Amino acid sequence: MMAEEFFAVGKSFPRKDSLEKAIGDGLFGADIRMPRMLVGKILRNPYAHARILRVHTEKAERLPGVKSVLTAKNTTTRPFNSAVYQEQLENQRIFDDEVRFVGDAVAGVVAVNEEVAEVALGLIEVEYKPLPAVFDPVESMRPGAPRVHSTPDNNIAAHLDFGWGDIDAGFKEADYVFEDTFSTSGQKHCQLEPDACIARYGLDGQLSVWTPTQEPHITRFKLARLFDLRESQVRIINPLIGGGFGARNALSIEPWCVAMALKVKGRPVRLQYTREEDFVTRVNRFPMIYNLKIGVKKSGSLVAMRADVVADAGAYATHVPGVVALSGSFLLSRYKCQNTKFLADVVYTNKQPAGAFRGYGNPQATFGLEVMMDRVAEQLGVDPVEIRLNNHLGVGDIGLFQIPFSSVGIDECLKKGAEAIGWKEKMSRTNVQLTHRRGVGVAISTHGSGGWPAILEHTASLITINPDGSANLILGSTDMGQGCWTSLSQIAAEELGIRFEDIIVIRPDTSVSLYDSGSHASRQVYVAGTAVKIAAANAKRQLLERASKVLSVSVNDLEAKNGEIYIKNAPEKSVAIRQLAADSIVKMGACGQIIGRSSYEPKSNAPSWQATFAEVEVDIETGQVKVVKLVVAHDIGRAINPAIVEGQIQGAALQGIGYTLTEDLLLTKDGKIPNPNFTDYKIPSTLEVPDIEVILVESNDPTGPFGAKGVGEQGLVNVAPAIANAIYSAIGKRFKELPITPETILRVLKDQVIQ
Amino acid sequence: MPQTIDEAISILAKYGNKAKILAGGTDLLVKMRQRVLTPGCVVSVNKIKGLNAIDGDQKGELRIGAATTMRSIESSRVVQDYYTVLHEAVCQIGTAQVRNMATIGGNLCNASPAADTAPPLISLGAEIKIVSAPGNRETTRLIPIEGFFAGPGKTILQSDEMLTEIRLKPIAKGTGCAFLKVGRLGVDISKVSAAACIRIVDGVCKVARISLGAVAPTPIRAKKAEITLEGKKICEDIVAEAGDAGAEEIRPVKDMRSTADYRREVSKVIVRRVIIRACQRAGVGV
Amino acid sequence: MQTHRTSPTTFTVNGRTIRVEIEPHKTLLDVLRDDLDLTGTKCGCETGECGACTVLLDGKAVLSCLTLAVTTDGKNIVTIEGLSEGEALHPLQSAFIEHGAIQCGYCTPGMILSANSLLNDNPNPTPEEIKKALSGNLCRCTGYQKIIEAVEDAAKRIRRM
Repeated sequence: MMAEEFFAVGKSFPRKDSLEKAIGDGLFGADIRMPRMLVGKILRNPYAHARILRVHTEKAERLPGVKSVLTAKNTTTRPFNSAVYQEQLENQRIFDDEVRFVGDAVAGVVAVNEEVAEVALGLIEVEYKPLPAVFDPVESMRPGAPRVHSTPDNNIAAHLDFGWGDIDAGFKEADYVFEDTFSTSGQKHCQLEPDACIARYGLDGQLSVWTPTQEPHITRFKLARLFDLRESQVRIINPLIGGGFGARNALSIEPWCVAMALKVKGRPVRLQYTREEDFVTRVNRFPMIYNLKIGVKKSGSLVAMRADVVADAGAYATHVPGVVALSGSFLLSRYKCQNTKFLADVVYTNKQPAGAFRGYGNPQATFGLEVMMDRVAEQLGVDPVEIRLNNHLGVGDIGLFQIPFSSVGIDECLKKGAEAIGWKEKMSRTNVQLTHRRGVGVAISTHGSGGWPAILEHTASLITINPDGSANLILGSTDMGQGCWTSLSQIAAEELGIRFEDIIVIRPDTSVSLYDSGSHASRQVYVAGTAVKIAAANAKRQLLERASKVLSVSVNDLEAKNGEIYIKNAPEKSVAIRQLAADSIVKMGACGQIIGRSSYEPKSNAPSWQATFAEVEVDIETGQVKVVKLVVAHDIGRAINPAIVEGQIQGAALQGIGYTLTEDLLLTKDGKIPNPNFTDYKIPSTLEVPDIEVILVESNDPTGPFGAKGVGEQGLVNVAPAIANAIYSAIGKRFKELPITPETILRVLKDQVIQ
Repeated sequence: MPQTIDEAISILAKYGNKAKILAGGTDLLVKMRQRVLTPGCVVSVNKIKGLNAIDGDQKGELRIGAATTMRSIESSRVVQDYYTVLHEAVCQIGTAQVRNMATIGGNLCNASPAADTAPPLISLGAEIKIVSAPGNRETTRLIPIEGFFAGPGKTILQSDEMLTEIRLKPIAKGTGCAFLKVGRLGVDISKVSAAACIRIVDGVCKVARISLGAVAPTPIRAKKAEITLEGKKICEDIVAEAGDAGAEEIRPVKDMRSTADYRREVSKVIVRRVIIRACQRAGVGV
Repeated sequence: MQTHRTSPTTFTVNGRTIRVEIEPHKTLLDVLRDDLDLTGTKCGCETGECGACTVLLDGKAVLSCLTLAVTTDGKNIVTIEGLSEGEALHPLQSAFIEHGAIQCGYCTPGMILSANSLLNDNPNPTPEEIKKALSGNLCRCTGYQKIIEAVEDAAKRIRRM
């Protein structure tokens, strides 16, 4: 279908939730007020590793206004894993008798207000026995290193080993072998809203939780399991969410909030983290150190690719084994290569846990791979764009998750992107005499649309038609700002033949919504979108059947658009959907409410592709880097809402700039984070916005709804190597560690001069 | 909330070290939130008449009240046209919101070694007025701004003293001034900052006042750089020499923002560049 | 439980003059959100770094998390709730919505008020001037591009009014 034929899909409609956000009306977790609400606070530990000998709570308990003091003694000690599917490595507890990173939770207080809660925290006395701690993941694997958990004794949470072919033979066959070690740092999500949660456990046994989780249904399952409740006792509601990016995938603040609510049955408890708590205790993007080795033929094709990885999981496993596995999958599913090997150790250290973060291992892997591809290009005398055009996997090739690609638009991305940035002219420019030197760089990547077949992908959807002709779209899908409520409404509108404005999103509430596995893995449009399309088609069928009786034609002669069902060959003969809906509800003898339904598991995955071109300017006297221009060409399949797609890519690009140039979670020798604030953990502001051009390539994937693929994460995935390659082009120095700071650049430039 | 300087000083004298002055709040409230400071008494100076005014002009003497916001200084025609170096610095302090709240007196009294108003004021040869009440008898004194800083976060102010005014003398003909800073991202505390006021007559540097920030326990005069330039004909080589000389007097540290090595290297560059820009403004290209 | 002596403070919020007894340590952010139920102003960091708490104080954008409420006596405060007039949105609000400049929405109230402060002083700002004025409002979602476009568009609309 041509884009012009759509009336809802492909349009940049304003979002469903923008108005309430623009007028300050929408309620985020911290804005919700309830009668008799109590406030919770958590006492956190100051040691990187310690045993808790005793917690003295008597003084705190006696403070007027304190309703409960929680410790490991009076709270469930069932171990859990906060991650979405990670049931195996459950070694975190709400309160434990051992604390494993600075900021780990020790005790909790529930009080009538924040001030009392804070005073009460100060009255809790804890006897700690500090234990040896380990911060370097390589050190952590060595025999004799302090054990972060009682098992495993080598601190290795998981060992991964996969690939195909014969890696040794592959390297023997190679004409050139390239080898480098890369490292990336822990990036913080820095979503603007610090975690805020409200939980209320009623005397009727119903637990209601207002939480910013990205996976309401999975969170419901996990909380039920953690607290030994039946799932039907647990109700999860999303208020508005101030950003996610994986921080809320799946449990973040809920276990503590619910534990508190269980102590004060009948009264809601609000638990909110400060920004400092967010920086210190919440998860990060796992730092990765890896040795990457690529074998290449003179002809330019890859014959061997191997990565040896050490991944820093921090104190608790959360997602990390899965993220590292995905890191390997993304690494190996980009270029044609017969022999591959991915070996990784996921290691515990006494630092804040790593977790899920936009890109899910892809940014780490892509950094090294795409920097190395430029080395390959240089060695072979091939243009960096050429080498990628020649080597990437194509339609029908086995790719991500071992399934063939159904659409690959990267050629168009590379060609259009190269033209937009002025690749040829800028690559041949020399500016050796200047103090401010410019260079351009490129990087490509591919990223899944959802996680099939590697993880559970399931969305069930309900659409009901109201008597006024509007439709309720009952969603379990979390919109944390990425816009899925709007995109899914557009899909529903297009399929139903109802105007976008008349689609009403019923927001995630597990007591009403059907199952959706969550907002992660760039899956909403591709998977939930298909579920919505099926439910809409289902509802439309029911409408058409009613209309066929009214208009006395067969269903096949009918079409729906803009709230009307009309005869294809005689469009002036029509009936309003409003009329049909009203009849379906109240017309005696003819009732039959229209309920569109679906329960969808994909049998496909259509990864999207992206080429990022960066132009930088490096001040060789100060090492400062300015990203002058970014061109991001993204093979989106079909842009359901182009403005939303652009917004995703632009936002991710700025996160990528921060990841590349400034964001660094520091650590003191005691394991403390000395920069738990925006003053010293620098994220890009408006002053860092480059001239950014987004090119949307619509490869029209046969498996996606209206041809669409995912986009949520990939905007960030290849920004770092594009910038690193541009820096190389400007000053002839390759950087293999993130972030690439002026201090690093200047030191390297000065060393060069000295030599 | 005292209405006059007298009242404020009395409160300060009464509470001693337990009292802290509140002007814009952009430093004090952050420190209170972080429990770095827990004052028993907070004295707001925002109702004191005349404390947030800019009086005088570029011909005689410009007097800037200590509680004048960065925003007011940014919008001041006189400062923009005649005291460009101060204007340049103030425009880059913090964000728009911070500049609407923060005051020049607060920036100086907070005494961060990286305080961005300090290098321009030092290179302008500014003086500051301090009011105190020893034995309840109010006295005032005027000191050069360089003498104000005692160490990181410390000034020479006693607990019952208050900074009330910054005074700028007219700038001599043939003088060009400039300010430069290096941070991590666009809005940032300086890793290195420098200001220069260079007076040139017939191509020869008559007077050079150069100041550096964020590279020593306090903002400092780069006297060696000044001596390198004074009396010499302005040219590329002498300016480069001055840049290197400027870096000799600093005692940079490694902190979360940068390393000592980086600060040392970049100081040379920034001093050189700020001198070049100042000379350009004095009408002499380098 | 500690009680603090309160100070009577009179100020105008969104056109309404009110008098509140305020404890001296309370910030304007606390008072707006907790005492006046104006939850449109957000708390993102408590240390004045993110700009989510931005409100207009006598027409100028300030950080309410670093403003002691008692010092606002006699002043005029505008929060996001005060920007629209009844059902009529402020041109900035309309522009933000239409340009897709709102994603999660947490930075939006502060961002719009900072933009409003800019346009009050400078009705025809360049993109560079817009970036400078908004550099104190962090956004992690949008990458700022659509925000800048929305402010430019709003400026045009306001000039035409």
